[in-house]
Amino acid sequence: MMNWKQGLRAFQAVVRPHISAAQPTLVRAKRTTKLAPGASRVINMVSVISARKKQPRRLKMCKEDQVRHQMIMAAWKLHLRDEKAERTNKLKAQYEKITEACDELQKLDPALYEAATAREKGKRFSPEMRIPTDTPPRQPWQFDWSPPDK
Amino acid sequence: MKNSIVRAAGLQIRNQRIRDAVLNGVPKTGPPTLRSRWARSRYVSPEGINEAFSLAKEIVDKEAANHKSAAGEVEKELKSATGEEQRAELAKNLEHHLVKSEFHNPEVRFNFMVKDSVDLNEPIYRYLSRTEWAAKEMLILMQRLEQHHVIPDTMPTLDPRAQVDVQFVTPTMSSFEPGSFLSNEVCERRPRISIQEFEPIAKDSLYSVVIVNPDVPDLENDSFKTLLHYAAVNIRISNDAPEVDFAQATELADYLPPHPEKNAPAQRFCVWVFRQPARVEGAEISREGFDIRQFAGANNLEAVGAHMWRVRYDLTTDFIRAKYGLGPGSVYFRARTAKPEEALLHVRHRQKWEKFVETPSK
Repeated sequence: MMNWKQGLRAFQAVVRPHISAAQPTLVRAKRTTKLAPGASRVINMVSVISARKKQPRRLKMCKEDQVRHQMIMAAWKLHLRDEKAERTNKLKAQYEKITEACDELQKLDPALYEAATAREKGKRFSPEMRIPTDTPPRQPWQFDWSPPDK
Repeated sequence: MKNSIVRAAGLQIRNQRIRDAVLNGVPKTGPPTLRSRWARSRYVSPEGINEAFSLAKEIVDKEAANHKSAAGEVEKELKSATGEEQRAELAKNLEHHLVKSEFHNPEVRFNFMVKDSVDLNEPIYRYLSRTEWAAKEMLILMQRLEQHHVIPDTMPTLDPRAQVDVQFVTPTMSSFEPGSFLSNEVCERRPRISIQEFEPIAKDSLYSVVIVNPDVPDLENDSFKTLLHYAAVNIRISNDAPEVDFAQATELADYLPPHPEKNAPAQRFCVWVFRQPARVEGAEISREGFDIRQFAGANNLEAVGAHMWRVRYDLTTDFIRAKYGLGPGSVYFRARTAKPEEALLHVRHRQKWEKFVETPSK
């Protein structure tokens, strides 16, 4: 195992090969020499895992734009609220229509109503369904698959 | 749709260039709120903000118009309503719709952000001010009142509804956090007090201010008693005029500067602000053993705000005592003797006091 000083030297040896390990000084001026091969990759990796990268940059806006931005965000919230209300109302209306139709059916033909509203016990979402993955499987579709006998 | 809602003229941004920038986007010359030409020339607005703003304005204006029409209906109902409870409920509802109708108005938000032309007669500005106060200052106030046992040592509890600000006459005229230790010299004269109401109140509503000190040593009962330091009634306050005008008020007891005793614990000075249902006629009240609960109950007063500060014996106490003829005071000791009266008045303190009174310092 390396300690942190050895680790730093090893890192510098990759990033700045022109500085020897015996002389670990920081270069504060603008970089003029080309980076060593692989060094830019290391820098990329380090900068990606740094804390600064984990949140978006703060927008630096003047007061006028801050106010405009606030209003846009407020309008977006209102829009989402209205959309949700619309969807809820639609679903509610649909549900009411279903209830109404079932009531009507019960009056006309009780037997048909029983059959239509019978609870399907044990009917579940197919357990053989493939687990969703990021990439498609090697064999996309199993053509000769049949459900197991019960 | 764009001109469907008429905004009140009093809520507009006063500076026309800034107003244009807020409503129509930052001009090519840069945002007018940035001071240096260098900063203005360098400034770039976020991409697509102008397009998004014009779309957002339609949504926000529609919402505002809905609330405005709702407010109009509630107002009509309020005119015909007779019951006391019903009227209060409707008034609350009206205030809600009036606040919501200007809630997303960018001009209002800008004015409140820069604290310019904020008219507390407008429901929206009262709402925003209250929200800002309740997020920090109100919490600090309540914490201090409970931590220092102002509640329930003076009044049983407080439902904070008004922002009370106390300023002593010092070169900086700065207000202080509730519970701060102040020097005796600083609180020598009556402070300036402002009472900011956030609920809609009638113009020149009546308020009272009482300052009490519940920490005066009471040797006979081995306890503490309350001393009244200031009491004024019939103070006229409006939503947009929060400063207390003491000249117009009725003073029941004039300001007595704090004069703590040496080695005694720190004294709390509790400022209580009450709403009055009607005028209170001035009557003599004794300072010693003042009962603030009895006073509030007898005059039907409703506590809406409070403030407090603390004072200890310090270098300036003797100067204040000599200036206002408050006597030498006592010196307290940790050990109790068989004859407390002898021990209380320290011989050296008495000698120093006599010397001090003979040759008062500049």
